[in-house]
Amino acid sequence: MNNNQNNNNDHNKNNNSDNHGINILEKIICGIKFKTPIITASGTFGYGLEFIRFMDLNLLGGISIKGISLEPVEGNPMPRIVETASGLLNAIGLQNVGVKSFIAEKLPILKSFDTNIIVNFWGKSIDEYLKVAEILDDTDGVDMLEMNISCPNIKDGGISFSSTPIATSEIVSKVRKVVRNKPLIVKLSPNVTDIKEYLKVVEVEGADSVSLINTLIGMAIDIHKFKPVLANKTGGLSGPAIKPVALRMVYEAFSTVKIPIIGMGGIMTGNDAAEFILAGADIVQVGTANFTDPSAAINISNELRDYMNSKSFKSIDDFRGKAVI
Amino acid sequence: MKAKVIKNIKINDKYGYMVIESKELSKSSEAGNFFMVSPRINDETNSDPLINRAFAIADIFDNDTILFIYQVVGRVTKTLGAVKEGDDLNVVGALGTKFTICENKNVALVAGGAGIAPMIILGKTLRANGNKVTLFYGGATKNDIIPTDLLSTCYDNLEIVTFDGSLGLKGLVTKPLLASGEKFDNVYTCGPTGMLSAVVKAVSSIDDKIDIEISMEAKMGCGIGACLGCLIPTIDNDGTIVNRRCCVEGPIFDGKKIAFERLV
Ligand SMILES: Cc1cc2nc3c(=O)[nH]c(=O)nc-3n(C[C@H](O)[C@H](O)[C@H](O)COP(=O)(O)OP(=O)(O)OC[C@H]3O[C@@H](n4cnc5c(N)ncnc54)[C@H](O)[C@@H]3O)c2cc1C
Ligand SMILES: Cc1cc2nc3c(=O)[nH]c(=O)nc-3n(C[C@H](O)[C@H](O)[C@H](O)COP(=O)(O)O)c2cc1C
Ligand code: FES
Repeated sequence: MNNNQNNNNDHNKNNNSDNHGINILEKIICGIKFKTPIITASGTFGYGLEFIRFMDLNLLGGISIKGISLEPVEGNPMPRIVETASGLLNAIGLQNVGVKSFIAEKLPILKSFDTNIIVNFWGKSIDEYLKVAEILDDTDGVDMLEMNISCPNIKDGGISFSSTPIATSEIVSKVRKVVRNKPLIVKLSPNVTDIKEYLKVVEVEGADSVSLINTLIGMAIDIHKFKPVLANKTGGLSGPAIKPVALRMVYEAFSTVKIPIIGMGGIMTGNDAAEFILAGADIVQVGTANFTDPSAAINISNELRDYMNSKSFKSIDDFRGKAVI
Repeated sequence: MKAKVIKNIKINDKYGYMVIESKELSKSSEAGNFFMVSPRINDETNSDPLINRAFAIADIFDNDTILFIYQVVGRVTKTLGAVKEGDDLNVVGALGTKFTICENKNVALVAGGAGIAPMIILGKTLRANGNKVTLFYGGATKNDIIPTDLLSTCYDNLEIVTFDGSLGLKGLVTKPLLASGEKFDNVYTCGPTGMLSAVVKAVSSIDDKIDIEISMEAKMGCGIGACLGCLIPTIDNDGTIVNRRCCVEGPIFDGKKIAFERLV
């Protein structure tokens, strides 16, 4: 990966077109056009606005916004992050400004960019999920909804909705009924024994797309203080450390569901993104890499195009799922 | 963004400094700002260690080179000594808030250990604005005090303090600050959190109207406001505690507005 906050993509200003004016990176899912299959992942790109000084947001396929809830949430006590081998463990606790403030203060600025706005959302109860989903479904400038049922950090929330296929089925079917206008993505937890069961349930309940994986629950111990490093004790592991697990799950998803698959987990380079597409992803999200280089997503998009050119692939579908045997 | 290493000098086993070239970083930097350094030198792609590290802008020369000082504490800073002249660092910056520069005042700077770094450019800027600058500079031992030629133009008076007395006065840096009898209008400080808290207490005990700006530290996941991993508990005007991001709303804060008791 190239650490360059000045978009080292001058050869590619504002389009991904080849010599014939065809954008080989373009991909349509759920009726929505992505100029590149590279999206920034929820919780790793703030509200997008934090990155304006480092990159041209118009070059992104989309932005998945930090998980939004009905009311503002303060999140967990500090320390909230710790680096582990090739990874980052976080227990932010889904801190966010709440849906009202997001719509009033952040969205108007985001809307001015030519990129897809995917709003990741969650609730502490089914009722809260429904309320926030309804509001977002009726909000101009929101292109897709991504429902997080898999956050490992909130003791009384997230995890319970993804802990059994039945719980997942219940929440997805209820939310599906209130999301009438926009495509609904369900984001899955990797902290389950058999991801295929959850994939099937989500498809049956009518999700338009599935995204995976969220973070893996982990822990780090302070050997001098004799206690976990994170105040929350456990945290969600992200970054290159989780890529093999994520790839395996995307690979399984490809043969399990027909709905579009959004893959993520440890993508740092265009070649990493290519691996996910070869395993069956339609589009991918870039998370922790945004922390190590604010323009990572754009570099990854350019590197993916270079990879495709080197293999003479003319579209994402030319190689999507090609590694699945 | 790449920044070419012009110099990388080992001071002793605990400290080193680098001079790096980047017009963009230099142009956007002011006293108080910091930047992130990737553990990946040149075009390396290794992912362990993964996360960028924060360093204060210590000085700016000729609008195109930056001085920063590194204290060797862990995985990344242990490897910085091996970086060669001509190598490229991958950096993100300049980041964070800056110090308020007062004019024609009697000013104290209080630095502890690596906290000396932002005080160099701060002292220089303050002096250029007609202030009289006294630098109180403390460390555990003489090895924690960097050579004074690096500090060059940043103070009018210098008071060095070491805990073990191996250089300068013996004790804590707050001792000469309290004993000086000097009436300071403004105080600026940077160092370990325990020291910052002690400095705020000491200064408030002299006169609680003295302005005190401090540079805070927090573990940073991104340095640009995206991860929400670096919160500092601050006290709002109405007394409520509000968490603020050290990397965006800081690292420079009003010293009297930090809820030190909430920091572990
Ligand atoms: C705004 C800001 C400016 C800074 N400026 C300077 C500077 O000019 N010079 C300098 O030497 N250092 C500075 N630091 C601290 C520096 O970022 C850390 O020392 C560095 O990240 C340690 O990296 P490492 O890989 O060597 O240590 P690690 O292996 O990551 O950690 C080693 C030990 O240091 C602790 N640690 C790691 N990072 C931090 C941190 N950010 N704050 C407190 N403890 C930490 C860990 O808990 C661990 O005990 C600054 C920090 C901030 C937030
Ligand atoms: C600091 C941090 C905060 C996150 N917050 C959210 C969130 O609010 N909602 C969500 O669905 N996923 C969240 N995630 C998970 C990421 O979106 C992504 O699924 C995960 O990090 C794996 O991708 P990566 O390895 O590229 O980071 C967060 C991840 C990190 C590192
Ligand atoms: S370090 Fe990520 S928000 Fe401050």
